[in-house]
Amino acid sequence: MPTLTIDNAAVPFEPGETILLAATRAGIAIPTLCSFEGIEPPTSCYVCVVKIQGRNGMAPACATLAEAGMVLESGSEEVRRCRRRALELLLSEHAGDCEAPCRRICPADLDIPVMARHIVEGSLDAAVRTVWSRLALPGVLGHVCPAPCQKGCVRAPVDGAVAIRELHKGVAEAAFKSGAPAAPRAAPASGKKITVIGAGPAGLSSAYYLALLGHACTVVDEREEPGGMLRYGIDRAVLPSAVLDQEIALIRDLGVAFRMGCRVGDQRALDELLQCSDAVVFATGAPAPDRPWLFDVHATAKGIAVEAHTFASSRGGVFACGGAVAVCRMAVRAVGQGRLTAESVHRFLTHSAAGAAWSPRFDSHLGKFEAEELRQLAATDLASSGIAESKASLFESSLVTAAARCLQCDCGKKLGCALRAYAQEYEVNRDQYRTGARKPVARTRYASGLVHEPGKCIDCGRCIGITAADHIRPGLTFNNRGFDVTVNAPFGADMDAAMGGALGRCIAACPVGALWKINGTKET
Amino acid sequence: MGAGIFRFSPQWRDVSSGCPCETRVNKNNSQPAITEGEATALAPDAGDLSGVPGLSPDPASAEWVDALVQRVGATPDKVIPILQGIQEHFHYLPEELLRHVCRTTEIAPADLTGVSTFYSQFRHKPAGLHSVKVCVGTACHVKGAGAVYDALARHLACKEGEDTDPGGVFTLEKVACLGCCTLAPVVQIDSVIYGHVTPSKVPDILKCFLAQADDLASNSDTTQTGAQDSGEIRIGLGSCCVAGGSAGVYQTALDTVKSLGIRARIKQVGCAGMCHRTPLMEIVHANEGVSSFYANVTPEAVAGIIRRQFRPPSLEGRLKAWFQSRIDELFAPDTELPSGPRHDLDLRDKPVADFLGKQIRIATEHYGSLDPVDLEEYLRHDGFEALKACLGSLSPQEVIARVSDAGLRGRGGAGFPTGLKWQRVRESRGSKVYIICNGDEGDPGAFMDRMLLESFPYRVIEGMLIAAYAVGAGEGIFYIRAEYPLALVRVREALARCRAQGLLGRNILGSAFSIDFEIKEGAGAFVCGEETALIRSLEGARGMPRLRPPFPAQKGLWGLPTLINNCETFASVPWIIRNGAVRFRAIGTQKSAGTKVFSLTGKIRHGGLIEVPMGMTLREIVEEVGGGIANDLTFKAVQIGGPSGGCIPAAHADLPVDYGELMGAGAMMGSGGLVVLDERDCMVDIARYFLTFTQSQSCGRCTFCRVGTRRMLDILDRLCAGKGVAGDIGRLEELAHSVAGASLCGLGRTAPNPVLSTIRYFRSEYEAHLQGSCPAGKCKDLVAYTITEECIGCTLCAQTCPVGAIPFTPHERHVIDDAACVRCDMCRGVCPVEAIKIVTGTERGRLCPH
Repeated sequence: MPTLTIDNAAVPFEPGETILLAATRAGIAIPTLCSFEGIEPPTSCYVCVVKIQGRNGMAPACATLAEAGMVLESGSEEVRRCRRRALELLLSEHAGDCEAPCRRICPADLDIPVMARHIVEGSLDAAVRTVWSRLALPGVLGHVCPAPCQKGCVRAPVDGAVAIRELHKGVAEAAFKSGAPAAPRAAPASGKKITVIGAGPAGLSSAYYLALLGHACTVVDEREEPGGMLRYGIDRAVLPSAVLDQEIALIRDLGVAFRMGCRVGDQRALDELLQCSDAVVFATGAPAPDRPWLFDVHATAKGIAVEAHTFASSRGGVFACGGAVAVCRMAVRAVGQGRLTAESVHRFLTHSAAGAAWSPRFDSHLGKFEAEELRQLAATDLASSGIAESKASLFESSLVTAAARCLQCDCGKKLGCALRAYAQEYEVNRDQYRTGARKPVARTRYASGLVHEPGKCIDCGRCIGITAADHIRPGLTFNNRGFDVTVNAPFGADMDAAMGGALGRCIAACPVGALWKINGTKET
Repeated sequence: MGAGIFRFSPQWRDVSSGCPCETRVNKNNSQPAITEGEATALAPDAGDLSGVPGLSPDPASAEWVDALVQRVGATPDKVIPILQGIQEHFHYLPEELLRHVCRTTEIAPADLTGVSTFYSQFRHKPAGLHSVKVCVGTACHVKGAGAVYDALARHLACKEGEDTDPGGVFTLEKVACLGCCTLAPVVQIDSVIYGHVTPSKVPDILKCFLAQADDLASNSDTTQTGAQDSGEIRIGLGSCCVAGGSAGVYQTALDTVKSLGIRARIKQVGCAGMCHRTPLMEIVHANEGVSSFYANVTPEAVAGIIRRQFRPPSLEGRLKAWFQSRIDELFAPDTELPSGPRHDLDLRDKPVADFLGKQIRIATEHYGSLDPVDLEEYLRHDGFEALKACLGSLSPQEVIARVSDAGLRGRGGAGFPTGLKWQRVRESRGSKVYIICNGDEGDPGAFMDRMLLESFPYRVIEGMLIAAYAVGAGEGIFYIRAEYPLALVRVREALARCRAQGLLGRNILGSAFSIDFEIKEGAGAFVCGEETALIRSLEGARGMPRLRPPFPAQKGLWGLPTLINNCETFASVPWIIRNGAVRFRAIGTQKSAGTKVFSLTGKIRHGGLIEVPMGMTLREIVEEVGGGIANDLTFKAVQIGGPSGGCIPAAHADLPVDYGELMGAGAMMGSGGLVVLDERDCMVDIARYFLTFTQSQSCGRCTFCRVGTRRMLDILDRLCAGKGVAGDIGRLEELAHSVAGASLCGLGRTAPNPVLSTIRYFRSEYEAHLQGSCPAGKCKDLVAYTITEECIGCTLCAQTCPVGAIPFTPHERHVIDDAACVRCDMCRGVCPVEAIKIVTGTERGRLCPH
């Protein structure tokens, strides 16, 4: 077998094979957004570029035939930069949000559109999974959260925001009412012990997620009952204690131990805790100004100094979150930080270096909608189709109606989107080339379940290639040329009918959320 | 408009044009969901659009289309000729007829709509009665085509986003290049070309056109007088000459000769190259052999010239001539001729001698003296001698060797060695070999191919036949832009005459060699000049280039070996065969042998089609051949190579014309557009102009070209609008390098050249734009018009201003309302005391409080 060299590694290939094929077989990952099995390489995305020694410029690996003795670069900074540029250019004409604005605002990162979708579908288990994956205290927050998410709701300027807080509150109520609030199963025991100081929202949240990750967790608090400010700082009329109690009980059920009436007051006490724990999390709430700081952990008047994203303090194995770090007026922020801290502690315990694996989630971030786009989006009802099927729902019908108002403005392919994955991998600057007006946001939902969002299309040509290869009529085509190219069905035919028998394959092949199916692809 | 010359649609097109896929909502809610299996069952058969609502065509139109399909063919590759037929007949593509075509041919609906929206020739909306095409080629651009377009739009009162006036009389459009660069700015209304148009002439032109429209329709008498013995009256009928008014000259000459009974032959000849002096007329006396050359001839002057040159044979004729000339003097004195003074040209004049003397004619041999379609005449001037020599005594391999030895390189732009290309095609295996003449010259500011095809069709045919013999081709195609109607007519006629004479078809000149050529019309896509895109277009597809290799030499048209050469390359071949490789090689430089044809235009005194030896410096071309810069302004730069080329500053003008030298300077030979720029040209504007062009011509396939060129243009747009952001120049440069390094085809890879070369040589101008000033005073958003103290209050400017931005205040110093001013430059043109100034930067800031 002849060979070529990619990044100093010899790669064998069959004559007539492309560089991409040879590299893939050899386990060298070359990104691509347009080449696809069974069709001629569209050579459109140019994300697969490689540098061939002795040739000018870059060559697309998907369509360049491998030649014996070729010497290629695929992982060099120059090649990576070129791929990054291609991705940035594609993102500049990709009009769509990866995540809905409400989720971006939610300090606990609750996947609101997915939750709404599950409510509409009447899928209690799925709704519970979605909600509890981000909110350890969803019912509590349903009572006390100021719901900043609702300020960002895309629907708000049209006819009022979706009542998001009512949704997770309703999910929690339905869950407890059904008697089986699907206690998530914890991971196998890790053998690690963690002490969480403080049983307020931050402490409860971090204990919950640490327990889920399989760590033995003890919450220490000086008060008699767990709940912190939720119990002692909020009017019972606003938050009935039964609501708090049942959600704490769920945490207890996961195996979290509570040592109440116990105060960790100084460094000696902390040292003792560190002796018997693998990590300690400070979730003590705002420091009392009259109490001297007696710990060997760096702190300011505002609170304990921690590293952004990891919540690690100056002392190894000691973490802090919530009001203990900085003023924290919203319980939901404390809950969110509690989860992030739990994840960070987990990484610390399993990888030794805290924060090694942290990287921000890429979000294409569309920006403001135009009035006309909003009107259209509001008219394109994605959620209500599920209502009919969910007759036997465990949810109150008013809750389902409220959930059905959600415009589902997150991306239907936010998990499967290759553009997003590569954008993350290549650390792109999504605003690098957003120099002109963006494409309009538009979406059409077809009866077959196809949702077509032309604003997200990156003109890769996969769907056109697939319909052409299968000789499907009327088929799909590029219309216009240059920057104005669009993928269309001829004569205004319906997109799903135009793809005929290849519809499913086209949806699966679409590397972005331009083609997706309303059922099945949206998950947390 | 304004911002993007070639943007065919505004940015929010998808919404405003109501693309059905995007605006329709829940359309199908009532229908049951389609499962995969059902969808397959539902998928209609070929061409069936039963699921797609739409009107049926009226029976007469449907019948007309059926007849067209009958004539053209119904296979998928016939999609472009079918669309061209419909467009020509209906002036646009009615959707119901397109559906009808899908039902009655093998063309897939997706392919039909894909193709019909790719080529700019095709319209999907009804058009007005007459089409007004404003040429925005480079030469026209630098001479103010933008202002002309704006004036037309204003005058026709087209609504925002509409291209047709409310009355439906005129449809206004911008076209890439009409190839009449020496007459810039040029406007074509239907088939009539108007040169040197200014915004103030617009109302008269439209009025004049409407008045003449009827005459034009009825007057198609083209009687040709037979060969006569007194001599020849040669009248240039190349597109530039026609645009300059030579059709009227030709008609008057015919009438004069007839009425006076003069025995002279009136002959249409091809381009003489001196396009800046059109219309041209040459009179050659049979017995004396001397010729007199007349430039800028008017129909009014023709009779006088003919009377002076030829003695009418009879007494009656002489009396008539004398009488007529007295009357002419009384009623039509020369000084009142509407189009300015007309001149005799003496070939010994220094400017004329410079213009002609420095040139060497190979591709344009016998310029200005051959009747383009007269085969006998071509044969008398050694025509087809080279072909005879090849068929008679040279093997194909020897022909290739001779072309290789001559060092001929492809004249299409990249300069690939022609002999090597031929060799590769010859060595390729395939059941058949195709040969294609690439006449899809689309560079704004270039018209070499048009001139060669219009004036020397036989030479191109001969070169192509020799090439076909050398590579063993069995079928040949002329791919010619539809925007060149005269070239199409001439080549079609020339091919027919060749066929009749046994120069095409079976057993050419009695040899065993057989081939025929057909013509395919391009449909308006610059990218089809790229060979793989050209091939896709011939196959009836969207003209999208594909990755090479495989090269067309191995896998071309229909997957078979294909030789594609440019017109000029073919036109150089007969000379090489007749005169030998050594003589060709003796001309030009070490690495670039022979001559190069350029269309020399812009701010030059003597523009035209020139053919100069390689190695001549740009300065010699500009200052000697071209006679220097017009209007006593300063030579600033030469833009060479069109949208793929670059700008060479005057300081580097001693650069020789040579493929390698130009490349090294950041430019490119390109197909030979040479636009001269003076101090009043803004280099950022020039870069933006070219990028606007390439961006609009991108096929839209690869990311770097489709999106990258648009983002570069966005940055240039904001620089020219005074909205530049710190770091923009660096951002632009970096993106330009990415686009150049990673685009699929030559269009994208060379598109950044105009930007990179202007940044390289004129960086300070970019920096000035970033600071909000345009040193050349060209960028509308960065300049203001102001009236100085010299103003005498004559009100001419106030009367001329098309938007009423100058109040009518006689005897007072006029004032321009900056907010209302559209920067059309008309006031500055009429001011008798040069009191109107363009200011920019801080000076403008003082005028304009915001």
